[in-house]
Amino acid sequence: MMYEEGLKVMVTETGHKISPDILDYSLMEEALLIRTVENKLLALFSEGKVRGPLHTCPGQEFSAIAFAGALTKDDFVLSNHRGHGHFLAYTKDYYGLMAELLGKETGVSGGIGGTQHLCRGNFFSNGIQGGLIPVAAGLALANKLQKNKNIVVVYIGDGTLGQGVLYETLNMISKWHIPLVIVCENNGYAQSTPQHVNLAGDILKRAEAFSIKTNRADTWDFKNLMKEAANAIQYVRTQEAPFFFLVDTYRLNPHSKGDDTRDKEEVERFSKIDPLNVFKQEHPEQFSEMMARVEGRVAQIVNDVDHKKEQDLNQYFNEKTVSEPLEWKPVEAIDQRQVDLLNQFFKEIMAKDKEVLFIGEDVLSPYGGAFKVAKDLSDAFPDQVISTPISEAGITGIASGLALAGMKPYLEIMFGDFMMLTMDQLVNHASKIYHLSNKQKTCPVVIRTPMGGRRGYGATHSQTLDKFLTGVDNVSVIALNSFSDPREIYKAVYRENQCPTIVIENKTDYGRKIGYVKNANYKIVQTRDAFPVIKITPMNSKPHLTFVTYGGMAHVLLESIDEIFVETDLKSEVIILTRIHPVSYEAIIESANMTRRVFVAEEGTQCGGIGSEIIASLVEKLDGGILAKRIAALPVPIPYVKSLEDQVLPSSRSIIGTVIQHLK
Amino acid sequence: MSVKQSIFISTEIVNDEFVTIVAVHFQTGDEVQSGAALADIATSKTVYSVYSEEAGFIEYFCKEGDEVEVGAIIVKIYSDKESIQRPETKTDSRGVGNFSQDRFSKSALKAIEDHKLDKSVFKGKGLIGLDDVMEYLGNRGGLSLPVEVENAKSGKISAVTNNNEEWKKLSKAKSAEIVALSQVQQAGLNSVVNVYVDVNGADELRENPNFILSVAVYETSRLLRKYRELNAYFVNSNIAFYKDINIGLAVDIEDGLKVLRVSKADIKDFLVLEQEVFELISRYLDKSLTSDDIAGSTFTITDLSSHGVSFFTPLINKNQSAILGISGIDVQLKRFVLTLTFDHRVTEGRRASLFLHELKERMESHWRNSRSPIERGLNNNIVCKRCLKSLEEDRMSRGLGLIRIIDHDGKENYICRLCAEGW
Repeated sequence: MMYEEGLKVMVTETGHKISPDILDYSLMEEALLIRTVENKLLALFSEGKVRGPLHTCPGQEFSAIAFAGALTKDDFVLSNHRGHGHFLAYTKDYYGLMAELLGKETGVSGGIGGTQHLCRGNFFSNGIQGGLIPVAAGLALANKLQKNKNIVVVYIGDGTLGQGVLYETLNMISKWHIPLVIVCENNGYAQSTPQHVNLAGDILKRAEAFSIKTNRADTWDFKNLMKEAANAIQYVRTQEAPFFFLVDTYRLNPHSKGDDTRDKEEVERFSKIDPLNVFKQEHPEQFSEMMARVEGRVAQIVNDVDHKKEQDLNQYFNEKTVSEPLEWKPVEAIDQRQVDLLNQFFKEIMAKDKEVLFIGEDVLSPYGGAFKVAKDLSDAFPDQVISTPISEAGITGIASGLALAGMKPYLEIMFGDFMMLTMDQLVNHASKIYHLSNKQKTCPVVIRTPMGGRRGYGATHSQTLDKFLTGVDNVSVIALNSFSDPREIYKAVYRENQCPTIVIENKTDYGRKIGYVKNANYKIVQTRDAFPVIKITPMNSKPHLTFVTYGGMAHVLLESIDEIFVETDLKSEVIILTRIHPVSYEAIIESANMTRRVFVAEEGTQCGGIGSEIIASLVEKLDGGILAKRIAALPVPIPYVKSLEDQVLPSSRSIIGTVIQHLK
Repeated sequence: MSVKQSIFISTEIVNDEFVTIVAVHFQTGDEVQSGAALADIATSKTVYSVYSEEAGFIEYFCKEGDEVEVGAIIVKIYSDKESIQRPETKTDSRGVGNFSQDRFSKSALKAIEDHKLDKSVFKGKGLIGLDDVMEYLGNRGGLSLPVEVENAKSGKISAVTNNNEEWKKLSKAKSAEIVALSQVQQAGLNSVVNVYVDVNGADELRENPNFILSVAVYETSRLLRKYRELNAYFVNSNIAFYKDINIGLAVDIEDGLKVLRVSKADIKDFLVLEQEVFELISRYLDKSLTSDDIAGSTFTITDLSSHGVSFFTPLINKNQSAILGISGIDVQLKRFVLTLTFDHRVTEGRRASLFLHELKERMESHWRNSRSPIERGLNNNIVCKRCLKSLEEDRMSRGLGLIRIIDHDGKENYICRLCAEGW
């Protein structure tokens, strides 16, 4: 359906014009259908057929209908924990929602998502307050870049106004003229807490402070709301600018189920002015006729989906255990610094593929990023380099939205330490989209970040926080090193990426040339895999010790193994991983089977670290005992002063000491 | 200005860590055409050539006689001659400074001092640990020297340890042979049985020197279906049975010991086998064997009949449980000795004897049957179409009789139960 002249006349898809009176009637029926579905779900919850929290929307239905009615099928709607109404008004997929809530494999998210995680076509919802706002901005930015005139609507509640990522996004959508409508449904409560307890100042002024156009309407005068919603959408679509729309409304049901602490009189007061209740009062016969029809339909839907089957575990989770035979090839030294090779990769790929975007803080010329990976990129590709404000969470969400829309964003997080600010976007959004969409959508966002110390940057710019990242399921974590051509690794990321990927670069490796081993007693080979395992092994003899490491630590280890040999008579082989999550264990197992002595070295701290994970896996995979030891940083903040930093991070001196001690 | 092709030693034979450069056909700086043979490389099992895929200017990273690690780059082809001079291309897979920086562990140094050794004997070894010193001490005058590797083929003497000794590095092929033969022999649980085979009346012997060998391949392969443990090998307290019967022919005429494979011999006709044995040996003599001809046998037959030996004990090959030896024919007594060496861990003497006796019977039937029908007696007119076993013979060996069949020419014929059904 589409609207002509605001709300006066509605034209159906067949071109039939409907008078305003009949329009009201059909709107009433749609709202009643949403409400009846919600109430049915509450009944099913009581029967034990629906689980978990159940955030229903009675009282707020017209907010969903007003905006959905003015959208096209190519627009996007992103929603929140209370998303059933938004979902139904936009997708009209009553069966899909009911099946999802009943946990059926025919549910919109295959029974995986449930009430708070609905995915269908261009609709996404998530239970993290405000988390999808930057993702929505990313989708909208992709629309703008693709010049397709499609827009995005994201629904938040007034409780979400406490989230910082909202303001990061308001700043960027305003600055970048992103066609996004933020609809804030103001029902006066954050779960059970009344608004006055936690909200300061004025809601609309918050958006206005970012020079974003705003409007305010309410669900009680729903005709006005529909008109203003259509106008807002029209504005965003034509002006390519954001809009903040405040919808005053009231939730008639509890926040979830049986958790209402509100004053009963207050609820009663709003119940009386609720449009559906007013309609029931004024047109009792029409209402009961409509109610009978709607209830019949909902009963039919429940009946139709109730017997459907649920997903099997092996449908949902099927662990691949493909073990490729190891094939080693020589490593060729490259007489260029790693950072220059990275810059070269981006120049080549951005020239070839206009969907590749380089996003990050301080990345414009002439600065070119804190570590100069982006050098000259914005001169050569002004449309493909996006310099962002300092908003790590927000830009991660935006990059995820771009990836979800099919663009190829490469996001630079200036220091690895700042990855902690991206964690909600990574853990709760980007990494989950594949499964929550019942494997229909992927979010292959690439995040690059430098980790590591030894430069005197102190406690919050020197850390190696990889262990937090490798713990995120469905996120691939790559660590560059100075032995394997970084261009080839990035080409593999570009070619094969199917899930969010974090590429950890190392500050001290940026300036190193590739593939040089300054010790003629060792040879260096790598596997033929896309993300190769590199092996540095004695030239003419079998090794007695296996070291497993990755990233910048590889260099430190290489400086240790000669002296370890002189002192202990044991020859070392160093296995350098390129992908640290998930790890391919074949090369480690091959070496460990030979040596039965394994040391895993990392620059991060030990507890719950990469070494713990690798050694635990190795013990599980090998049939006999191995001697194993983790080498890691001391569990204190990295000191600024050099003498102490050198002792807190694993150094060749401390590694030699640890190994000799451990072998005694 | 670019490298058009880099050729490295690929993993042809998984067991090899090093290969030997037998010949290089150009010099660094030469212009080569696409498809030119650039170098010949010897693995432990065969010699192969590497070819250019691109036309251009060549740079070698090896020379004749070099032992090169699998995975190392040996040749690069450049688009122009100047590129050869570029410094980074001089860096091979071993990284910066391709010179030796030998390092001795403290224990190694102490052992060197204790044994009053000259450190220079380890030159080029890289990391020298106590193991390396002990290996050197253990091997002095023995099989191999851990240093100064030279190809036996070049005939160079690699090191002289005292005036009365001259050392020569074993060839790749010999080293591989030692490895292959050591596996089963090391367990020391092998046993041997022998049997005489009568050759009276074997006229074919005069026409085809490989006749006995071909018969041995034919009959052994069929018997191995029954004696599966001989087409198997011992591994970690298990017996691994091969599904296929691939007979290996150990020949050592001119070009060193090689084991030539006859695949699935048990399902091939005698004439096919005879031809295949002939062709394999011809290829061996022509030196045109491929690595595919010499890998994957499951039971070995070694034929020293042309060497006039009266009796010998063959050694079981790696990942096998038995080997059959054919000795020379005693012309006066018209017989030769068949020897079966078997791994006692997978079978025992009684089974081995049964196998050998049955084999003898079957082999002899090949030439016994070639006598005239009159010699064979009345019932010998009825013979198996395939193996020529007569009805009389079948009776003597307590068989069930022959099966009457209609052959493909539409004629009535006979076949013995064994040929019809196999084992």
